[in-house]
Amino acid sequence: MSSSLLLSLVTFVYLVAALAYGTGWLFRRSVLSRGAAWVSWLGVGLHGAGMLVRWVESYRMGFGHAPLSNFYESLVFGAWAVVLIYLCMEARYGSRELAVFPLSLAFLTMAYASFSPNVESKIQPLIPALKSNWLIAHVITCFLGYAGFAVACGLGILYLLRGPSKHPDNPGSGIRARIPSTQILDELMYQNVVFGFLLLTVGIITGSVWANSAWGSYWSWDPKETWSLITWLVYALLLHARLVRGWHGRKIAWVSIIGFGCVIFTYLGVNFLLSGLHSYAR
Amino acid sequence: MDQKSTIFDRIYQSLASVKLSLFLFGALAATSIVGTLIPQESTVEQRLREYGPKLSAIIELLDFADMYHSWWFKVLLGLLTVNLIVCSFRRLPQTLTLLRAGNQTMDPARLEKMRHHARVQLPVPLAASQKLLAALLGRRYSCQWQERESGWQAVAEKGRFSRLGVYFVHLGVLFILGGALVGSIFGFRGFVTIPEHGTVDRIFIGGKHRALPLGFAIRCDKFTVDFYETGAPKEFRSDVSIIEQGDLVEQAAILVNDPLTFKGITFYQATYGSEPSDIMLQVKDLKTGEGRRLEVPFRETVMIPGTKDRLVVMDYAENVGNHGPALFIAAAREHQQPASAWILVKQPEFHGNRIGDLVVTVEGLQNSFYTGLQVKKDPGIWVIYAGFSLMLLSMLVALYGSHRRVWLLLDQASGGTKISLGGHSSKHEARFGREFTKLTQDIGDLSANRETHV
Repeated sequence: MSSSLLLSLVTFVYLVAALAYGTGWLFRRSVLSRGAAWVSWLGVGLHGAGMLVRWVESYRMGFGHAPLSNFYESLVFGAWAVVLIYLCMEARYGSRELAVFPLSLAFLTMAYASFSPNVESKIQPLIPALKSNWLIAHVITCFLGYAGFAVACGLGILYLLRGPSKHPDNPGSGIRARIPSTQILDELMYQNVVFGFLLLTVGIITGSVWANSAWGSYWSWDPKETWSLITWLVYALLLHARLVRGWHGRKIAWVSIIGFGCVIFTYLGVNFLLSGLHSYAR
Repeated sequence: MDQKSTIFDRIYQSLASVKLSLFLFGALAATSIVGTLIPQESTVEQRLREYGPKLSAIIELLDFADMYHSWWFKVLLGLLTVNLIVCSFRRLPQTLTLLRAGNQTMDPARLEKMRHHARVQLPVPLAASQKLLAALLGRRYSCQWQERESGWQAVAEKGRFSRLGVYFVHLGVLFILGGALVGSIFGFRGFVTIPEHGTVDRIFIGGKHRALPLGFAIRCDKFTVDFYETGAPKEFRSDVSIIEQGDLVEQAAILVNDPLTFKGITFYQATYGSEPSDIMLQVKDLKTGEGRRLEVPFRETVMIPGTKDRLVVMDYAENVGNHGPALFIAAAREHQQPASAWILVKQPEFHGNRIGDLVVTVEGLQNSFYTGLQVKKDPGIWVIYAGFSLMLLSMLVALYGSHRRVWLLLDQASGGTKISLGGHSSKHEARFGREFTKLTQDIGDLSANRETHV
């Protein structure tokens, strides 16, 4: 089976998982949620296998390289990272009510990657600038970081959905009653932001070291670099505000949503709206 | 005098505030956006065309077209640096106090008030309990035991230095900013193109305006470009030799992602191109009928032998007017105005192959590559890399480490030893809660008889 076929199949596995999680959550059917978790693990496994197969395929084509080199491959890896990080969180904290955002995001990302005519899914050989061991470290760390921020953003949205800050612990009925307590959301949001921040820092640093060995400049205010710094600054603000100024809850939720907006712009906006060194990532 | 110190105080206070840090994070992020929307290093004409006179004037005024090097952006960065230093220095004494806080004496009432606290009774005499506990705690924490009037007290702690992590993160940031400063003062960035078999001993800095002697020479022995079957480039490679005072001292290949460093100066494969070489021309004067053959290096003025006429091949084009490749040649003849023309390479009979009275025919022409190398000297790079490492390692400690402490009081009780313990963690309360519960259980398990209150 070819990797693209396998990966397009994964798209539907995530769709099933997202729907099962969603229904299980809204109608309080824990059987469905538990099933959804199994389906998600299956999806992550197939997804990982798909990337490995793609890696092997690239060697068969005679110019082997890790499947992290173009826009399609970055979407695929990004979606995988989101689901993986979500599932690790679920395994650790045991709450399945937070799955809808990350799984839907993974489904949409994979659907876009697999079926949009604008995304080239062919395996292409590496251009000279990309032939570097830093490529793997840079892409993996950046996208793991982005994934952490994505999960944090989903938690931020849930936090805001849970209602006004006046009665945070009395969510009333309806959908709001099905959202975990604000303390849990706040704590998990923070955990994911910390993880994302650390990985984004590694990502920026590896990118910088790489740029220095490829072009002789560790920082050139290229739009992609600048936007990654903007993102980093927003999350640096969040961490300082929380750790030193005691910001919690809604404020942090808002900053984490804005931060993820910056992530999206760094990743997509810069490619499609601005020009720069990362233009091969189209 | 008083008034003055108040102002300084206030300035100091605001420079030391985390509010200022938050503001600066936000301000740097927001202003950085502008520089990604307005193309950097465009020309005045481009900006006038793109934005019109009014907007252009604003862009000029605020240096938006070279924003990241503008005075106000540097002021923001400078403020962040000062804020980071002042803030860290102001908080450091508090942190150091907290580091030592474990040594203070602890009474049962204070232990009870801690978020994590418990009491355990061991049916073992005091001295034996102390030994058992010392062994248990010693495996997990670093402990300090102290004998009290009625028993023992201990402080067990772990991850003490995680409290200092944040200061090392900040130090790392300072290293990075300092390294950038060192690089901008003592380093340079330049560019050089070397034709195959050509040798250069100077490079150009700042848009070819200033030549900088290297102190040695670099020769391009060979340039190769490989392509994939798809037509995409596979590899750019310059084989070069370094020549110092006439001696060949080093031979190496420069590839993208694999630069060459010699005496602190690094050469990076940046571009390449081709230009004509071995140009052989036949020049015939229509008036005198005299014809001469001569070899003309590209873009170098030569005298036509036996005359006072000068000739230079100024340019080369792949395809001129659909007639194939052509050379743009200028001639300055004695007592005549200089003139120039495109001379078609493949069509020697073309009537336009003349400059004034000179009929020019191209008899020989080769194309050879030249390589374009980015040249850099940056003594600050190791400071920056040190900053990167320091920042990353200490960030791990600062964000994931926590200073965990457990205070214990051991008292003689009827039939054994009464142990009160209380715990505190600088971060990750939930995780520490589990650790504390486990510890309490393990202490209780030191004997069969157990009485725990969490």
